[in-house]
Amino acid sequence: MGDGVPKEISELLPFYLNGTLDDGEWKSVDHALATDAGLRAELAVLRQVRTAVQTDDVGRSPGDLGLARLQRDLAREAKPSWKARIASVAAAFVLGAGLSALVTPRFVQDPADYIQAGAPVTGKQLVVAFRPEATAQQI
Amino acid sequence: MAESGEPGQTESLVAAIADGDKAAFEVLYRSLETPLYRFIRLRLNDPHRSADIMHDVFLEIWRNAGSFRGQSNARTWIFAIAWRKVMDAFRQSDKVVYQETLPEQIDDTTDAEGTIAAAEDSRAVRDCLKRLSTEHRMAMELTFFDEMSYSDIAAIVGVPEGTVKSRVFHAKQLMLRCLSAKGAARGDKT
Repeated sequence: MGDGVPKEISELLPFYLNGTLDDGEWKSVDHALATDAGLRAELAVLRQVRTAVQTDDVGRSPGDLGLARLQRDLAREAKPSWKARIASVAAAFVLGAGLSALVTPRFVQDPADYIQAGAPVTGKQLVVAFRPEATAQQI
Repeated sequence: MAESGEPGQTESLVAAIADGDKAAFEVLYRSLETPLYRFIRLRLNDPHRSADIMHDVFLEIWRNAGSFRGQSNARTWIFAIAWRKVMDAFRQSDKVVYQETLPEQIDDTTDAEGTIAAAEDSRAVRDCLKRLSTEHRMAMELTFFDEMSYSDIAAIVGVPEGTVKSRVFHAKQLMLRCLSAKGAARGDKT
């Protein structure tokens, strides 16, 4: 069956049947089918094989019970949203900045290296802000 | 929340799941539960273990949906997760992982009329399917049940596309040979 057809075409036949070939491949197989009766017979057999595969019962899947088990496990692990993830990164940054602000002055030798909080601000400033709806936990 | 089934919908569901959408997760579960379970069950042949692995696959989807970058389609990404977990199960149980053993050339001499006649008997086709090795059956399954392209199958099982085409080709030849033998046996009886 299809013995006179190049192997490359015969290899593509199952994917011609399931409709996943690109245009060029599809045309190659279609042309071979038009000229080779053996290949057409092979395609007819493959249609039967596909039907058998699609209707073969390999046992029942877990269904709703499986979903309930998943939902139970998901409830155990609260998944943070992307907003919470951004908030946690921002919070880590603020914490880091705060800690360095607390620790750094102890090691500063020259008073000119630090500025009192009440002193006028000069140069560039970094402002960290949170969305109004951010919860304390997120911050 | 998107419905699954149309092109690109699985991708939309995975994106929603990445943002913690449990309703999208349920839709995805209902659309992929059956094919994923078949995929795992046909390799492991153990219903309870297959259910456990499928559970782990969906948990991984939930946890890692945010890491899906669209390198492949979402369905392929999900089946590849299942494939890895099945391979892990094989390694843990010290089972021999499949090696391609078919010779490059197999006897593909078949009688067309007898083969077609046998193929019209669904019991004969199912019997021939059962005689395939797990790997060849899986090749038929991914091609005809899941209707995947050879490039998607290659991405799932981690082999070159040429290997997938060759494996499906061999599975097809084995089916033709089995059905030809059944057709010939039938002819002998009449």
